[in-house]
Amino acid sequence: MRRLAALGLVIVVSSVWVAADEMSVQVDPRATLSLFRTFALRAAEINSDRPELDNTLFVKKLGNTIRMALTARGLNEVADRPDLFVDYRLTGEDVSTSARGFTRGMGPRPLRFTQGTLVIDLTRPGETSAVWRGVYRDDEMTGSRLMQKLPEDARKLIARYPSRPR
Amino acid sequence: MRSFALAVALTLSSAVLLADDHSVIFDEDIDFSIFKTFTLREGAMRSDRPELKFPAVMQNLGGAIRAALTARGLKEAADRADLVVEYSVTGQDYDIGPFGRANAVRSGSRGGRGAGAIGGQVDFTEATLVIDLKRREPDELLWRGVYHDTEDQAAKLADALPKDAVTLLSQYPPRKKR
Repeated sequence: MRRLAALGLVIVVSSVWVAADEMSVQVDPRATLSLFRTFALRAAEINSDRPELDNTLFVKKLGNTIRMALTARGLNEVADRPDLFVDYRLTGEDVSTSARGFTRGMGPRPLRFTQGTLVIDLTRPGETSAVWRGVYRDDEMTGSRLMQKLPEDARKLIARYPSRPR
Repeated sequence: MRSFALAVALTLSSAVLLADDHSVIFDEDIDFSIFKTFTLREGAMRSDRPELKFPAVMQNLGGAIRAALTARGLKEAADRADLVVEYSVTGQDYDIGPFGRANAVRSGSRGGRGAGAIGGQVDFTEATLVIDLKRREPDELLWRGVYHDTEDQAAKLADALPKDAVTLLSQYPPRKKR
């Protein structure tokens, strides 16, 4: 019974490791984010061999999520002369490695997972450096799970942008 | 008890490795009920595996897609169809190295094991089936289904692909989110 419990623990721990996410936000200390009122989506880039991610439908879905999240933070989308341009890019990579066997003496077992790194940049017009950058690194066991998670990840990143009173 | 635990572990290990994965993405702004007809383009097979490159594999797959779409209420039309259906299969062989890592096997001259082993032993094959439904005019992707099927024998994949296509197309037309 103890052995089965240990096996369960190993499975839980290994899946937690694979599902571990990493998120960071950087802000240009010289920029006053509260001054920005409007935004426009600009460039979207997907670098992945996965057909789930490398397609126009996913680009649109990610763009819509970012648009709604920024609007919820009090920014307005405009077509002309925005205060901020929004660029986003996704890099996907399939990782093949090994993990400890489920039981002692079993030997290593193959472990494959897929990693997506989403970068969202908010940049002032005419400048090359972003005033705000959010990076989300998401490891998932399957491409379909990563496809579902990335829009949520984008929402979590934008939630770190300071809210503007309307 | 010990052998039971080992059996469970082995089963879980191979289940994780050979687990299938599929997903569907579609344009949420489109009313799919307006599409009544489709035309099926020739499928593309990208694999060095003779079991997969066999012409009947793509013929069976095309037949399954045709039947599944017809069952979903669409009619096949030779000219000016509302939807253009494209499909492809990409096969990738893997071997499991001495440290338990799955390495992609590249075609070509025989070589040793390790990362990106060339022409080595094949422990399993993954086929990625992509089905695209596009609007004819303008040429625009509206629906995509992707099925990653992993089997220890390529011949099993050849049998599984038509079923995978049916599984994907069972999600057509997409349900609108409430």
